[in-house]
Amino acid sequence: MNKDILLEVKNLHVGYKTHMGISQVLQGVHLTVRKGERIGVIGESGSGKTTTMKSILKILPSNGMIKEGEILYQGRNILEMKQEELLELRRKKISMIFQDPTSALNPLFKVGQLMLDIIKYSYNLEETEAKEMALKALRDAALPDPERVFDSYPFQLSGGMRQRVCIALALIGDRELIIADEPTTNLDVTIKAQVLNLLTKLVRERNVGWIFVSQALGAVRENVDRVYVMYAGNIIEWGQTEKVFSNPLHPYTQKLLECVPKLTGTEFSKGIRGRVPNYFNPPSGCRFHPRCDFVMDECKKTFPEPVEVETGHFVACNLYRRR
Amino acid sequence: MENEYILKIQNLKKYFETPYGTVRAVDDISLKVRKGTTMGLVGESGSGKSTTGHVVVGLFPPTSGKIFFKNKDISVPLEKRPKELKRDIQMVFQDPASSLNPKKIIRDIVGLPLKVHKMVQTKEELEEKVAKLLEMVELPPEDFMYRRPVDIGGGEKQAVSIARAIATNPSFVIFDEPTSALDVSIQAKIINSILNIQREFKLTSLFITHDLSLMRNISSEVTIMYLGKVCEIAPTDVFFQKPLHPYTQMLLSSVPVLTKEEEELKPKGIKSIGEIGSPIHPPSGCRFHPRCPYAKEICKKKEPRLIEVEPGHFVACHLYAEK
Repeated sequence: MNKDILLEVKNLHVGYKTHMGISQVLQGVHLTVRKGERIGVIGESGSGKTTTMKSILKILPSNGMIKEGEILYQGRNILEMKQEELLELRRKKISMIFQDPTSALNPLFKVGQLMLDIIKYSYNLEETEAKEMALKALRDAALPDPERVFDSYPFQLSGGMRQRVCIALALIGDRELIIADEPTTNLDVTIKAQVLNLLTKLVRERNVGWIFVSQALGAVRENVDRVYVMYAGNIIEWGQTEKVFSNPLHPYTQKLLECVPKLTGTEFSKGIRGRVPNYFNPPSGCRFHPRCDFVMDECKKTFPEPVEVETGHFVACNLYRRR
Repeated sequence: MENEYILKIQNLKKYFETPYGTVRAVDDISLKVRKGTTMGLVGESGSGKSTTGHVVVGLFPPTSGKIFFKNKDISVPLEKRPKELKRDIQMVFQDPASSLNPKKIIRDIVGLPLKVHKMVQTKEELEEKVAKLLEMVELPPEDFMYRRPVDIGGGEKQAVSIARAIATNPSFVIFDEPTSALDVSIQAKIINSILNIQREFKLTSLFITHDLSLMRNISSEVTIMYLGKVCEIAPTDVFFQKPLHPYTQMLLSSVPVLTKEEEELKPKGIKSIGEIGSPIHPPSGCRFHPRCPYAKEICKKKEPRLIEVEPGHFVACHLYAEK
């Protein structure tokens, strides 16, 4: 057991029970986060990013079913933990920052009250100590005038400030892993940059592991060490950020990067033909095969085994096998 | 020469009365759009970019100021606008889900403007025209004609809105963030349809967006707005080579990018700070001064005028004031 590894997701299969049958969303997702490592997960909507993150914290909606797989946190399987252990984990070790700070903060309580409740519940502290901790967290999140923020209702703060409050909450105490699911999607461009800079700075300083989930490819590229690319419930490519972005291997990754408009004005592609698959009846083999320009017979049969093309840069695509 | 401009906005103001005070959404802006070109209107939330679009298309009457379209004054309430004008100016909205009637089939949605403007006589003629329009936005008519908006994807819905907008053969189309709700691969498809249509119909358009990289690829001229004011107007190429206004520089430096070439375009030495001010109580003088690293005494007191620093390149900033 490598002591360096904080979180390891292995062969995760997750589906949802619906009135239309059981959807097969995740198909063998895997992910590794080392201590203090910054990980990016990219993919388009519906690729299973959020389902993966929710599985890690075991906060899937009630119709979600984890069918197979292991989620090891420092060697211990989260999926087999007792409720008490799981709560302890969520209280002190892993925290999550959601996309929409407005719905993540209860509108009926002042920010201070929300923070105090969480701190007291997690750490058994006295009121004054807890308040000290809350104010420090707000200060660390670069909120101007933390006293005022502490005494405000969420609606009295701007979107950027609300997300800073969520970041402050997520980083209270000695966290080891922060999961941020599209933390800046709802914010304006200049505010986005501020919030991301803050998050990266805090994550670095405190040496916590960070999973940054986003559709914003540029933002991921600028802020993480390693990146995983998801398509239709599979991890199809992963490796060091610079390698994946400068030398994308999977046909989907290549196409996806071509779709992003560039500041240089270089012409971008005409999109990817076809549609994202339906999870009730997903394509056999590689789920990208109906949209792939390089499709071969074997792609339709089995999901390709990942291949390490260059050190640390893996791809699950038949084009790279048998070399 | 004056005929070259299809749209001229002069000292346009649009205020909204709210219980909290007057929102100065658009506060005295002037701009001109040349025939056959695309003007990109860029800004963050509260900048007034969408309101400007809405006033031009006639959803709200202006509080004061003039709008000239093809040299005719159109700054009158919507019901007083000639019907011909409504045919000639069309709009594509941000959220395709709420701008299409969920109970109607696509044929009727796209066909409605044709009926209203009496451009078709018979049912066969209508279907034939709608089929042509759907082909133009790359939706196979036989698949889509009789479906309803709920049965199709987000990108396809936006394609339907575009088909509806061009149904009456307008000469001016306002695109209000048409792709901000879509995934990048779908965005690429929609943008390509828009570019093709612009070329084919020799359309003039106003393209409203917050995404500078996208704007780079689609517009010939750029207007940057901040809190109801115009900061800078420039031809796109010039704009990216030489952004002048400190806000423009901050905006550009905040864009996350994918390649090294793009990184070189980002202005160095400016960092995003502060919060976007309130449009009810905007900061005095230059509205950007509380966030501006170069702010001087004069910036707090006097509002900068929009001046032409080189042909076609306008900026409203005291740094460039006439000497």
